[in-house]
Amino acid sequence: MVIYMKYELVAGLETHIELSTKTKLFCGCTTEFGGEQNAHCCPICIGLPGTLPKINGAAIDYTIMAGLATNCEISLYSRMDRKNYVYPDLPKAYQVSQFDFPLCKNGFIELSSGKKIRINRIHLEEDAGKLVHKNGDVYVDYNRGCIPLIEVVTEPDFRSADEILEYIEKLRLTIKNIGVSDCKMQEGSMRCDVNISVRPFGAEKFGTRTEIKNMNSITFIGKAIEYEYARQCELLDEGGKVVQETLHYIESENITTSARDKEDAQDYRYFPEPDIVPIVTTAKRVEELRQSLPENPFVRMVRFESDYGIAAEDAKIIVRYKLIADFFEDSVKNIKSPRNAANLIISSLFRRMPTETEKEDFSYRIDAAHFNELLTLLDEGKLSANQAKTLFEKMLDENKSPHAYLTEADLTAPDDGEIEKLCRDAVDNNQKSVEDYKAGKDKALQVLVGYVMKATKGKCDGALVKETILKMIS
Amino acid sequence: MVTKEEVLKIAKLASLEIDESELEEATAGMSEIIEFANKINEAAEFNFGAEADVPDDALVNAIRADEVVESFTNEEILKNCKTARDGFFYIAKSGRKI
Ligand SMILES: [Zn+2]
Repeated sequence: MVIYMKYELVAGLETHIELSTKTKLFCGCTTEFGGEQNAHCCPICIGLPGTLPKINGAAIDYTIMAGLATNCEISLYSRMDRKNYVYPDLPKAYQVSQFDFPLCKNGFIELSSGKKIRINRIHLEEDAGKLVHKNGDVYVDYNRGCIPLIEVVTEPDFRSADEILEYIEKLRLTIKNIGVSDCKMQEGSMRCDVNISVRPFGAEKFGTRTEIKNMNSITFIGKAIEYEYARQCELLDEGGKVVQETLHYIESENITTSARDKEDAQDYRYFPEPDIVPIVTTAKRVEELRQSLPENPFVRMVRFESDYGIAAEDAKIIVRYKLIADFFEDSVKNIKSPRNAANLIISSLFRRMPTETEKEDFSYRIDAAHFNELLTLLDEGKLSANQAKTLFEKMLDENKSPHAYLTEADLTAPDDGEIEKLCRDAVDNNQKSVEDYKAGKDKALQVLVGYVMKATKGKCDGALVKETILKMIS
Repeated sequence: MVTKEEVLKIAKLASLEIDESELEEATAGMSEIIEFANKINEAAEFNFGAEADVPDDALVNAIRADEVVESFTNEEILKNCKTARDGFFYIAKSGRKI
């Protein structure tokens, strides 16, 4: 461990995010996931000569929205460029990307520590096809080819794996929240390349960097960074030199290996894409897009705490899933204790949706209006917390109003006279507790209150019962 | 100038069939294209990119609506591919005979 104290990690991140447009970047083929191979293709997206690509307006809007959500400046003038390299996943032998005029630049994402990770640029480009390797042969499927991607490039501002993981999570939530991508890492719609170098603490100059490509799992990104950081520290400490190269992380062995190097020595010969005319946006259009963005989840989290008085931890978990957060807000209209809603959502609803995907897609059938009725009953003191929970479970089973399960009698709260009578019974039947309380055992009062609550099945106000009993015995 | 040999070589690389009768015309046509490229090189340098350089009448924003159109079938897509296999474009391991 000692050597690690000597070297500081310096890292930057490039994140590729597949946009959720209906069609590809330059043709009307569907972007749907799966399906028969080479069946979401046309002459444009398999790069046949003589075809004329036409850019998808939604992809431009989505990129600008991603830029606005990450505090970027939006370029009113932007254009596409050709990035030339020969590989079978690119049928044209070039990728249409953006080089010196990206749509978005100079943004940032703020970490919980207050540190800002600078975003150098966000540019729009087309995805490559998928290669399937079998016995050394290569089979190519271009269904994914030409699907719009954004690449979010940070400055080398990261100093720890934790910072990188927090950034990825924040970026993922931010982009998912504005609805321009589903950001499903496991399906590859969000993938990261990490640049890593180390330098002695206090040094100004960056060390030689390596790049770990194409990772799509948070856990493995964390492990890969730790592994590569340790590898470079040990190498330097033994007097060795880090070689600039592209690495692949092998999950099963927890090591990085040098990739067949197609980039470093390569000149991509970028030049303006002649088939796509420049993209000129107006400040007015950018403003319209800004207005169309939903509230940022981190802003929403703070608002949930202040507007609804729910605990910070609860707010954090709920805003993580936009649709559930929307459901929460729809349900707590005119509700005095939104905390009850947060508790039921986290304790009961979340249990019905164990996976992240289920929570993110929130396809569970439960009406906010029904939930609101249940919360109103709680507000009015007509149900105890336990009763509400049981009822909520039934509602989750059948998506019915709570009133479908309650009789008139269940909902009739005892009046003050009845409460007074029950309190009297409680005192008469629990003389020992009364004495205990008088002797200074505060807890004994709970027995008396509990007696009344049990008799009314929790349908009365605990504070009122306590007050009434106290009056009787003191 | 482009020679007939060069045209034949390019045609072979591009899998185009050119017979003797077409060669003359193709050579002339290709020379014309190269000439035109030279002409562009002679033109005053235009600084692509900077916002100020977009002339008012410049062609910009040829944008398409995000509406799905039917793709080609797998058969149609692979129709002109000499090495299709199992619905995929296929590249044999180097040295292996297809
Ligand atoms: Zn297509």
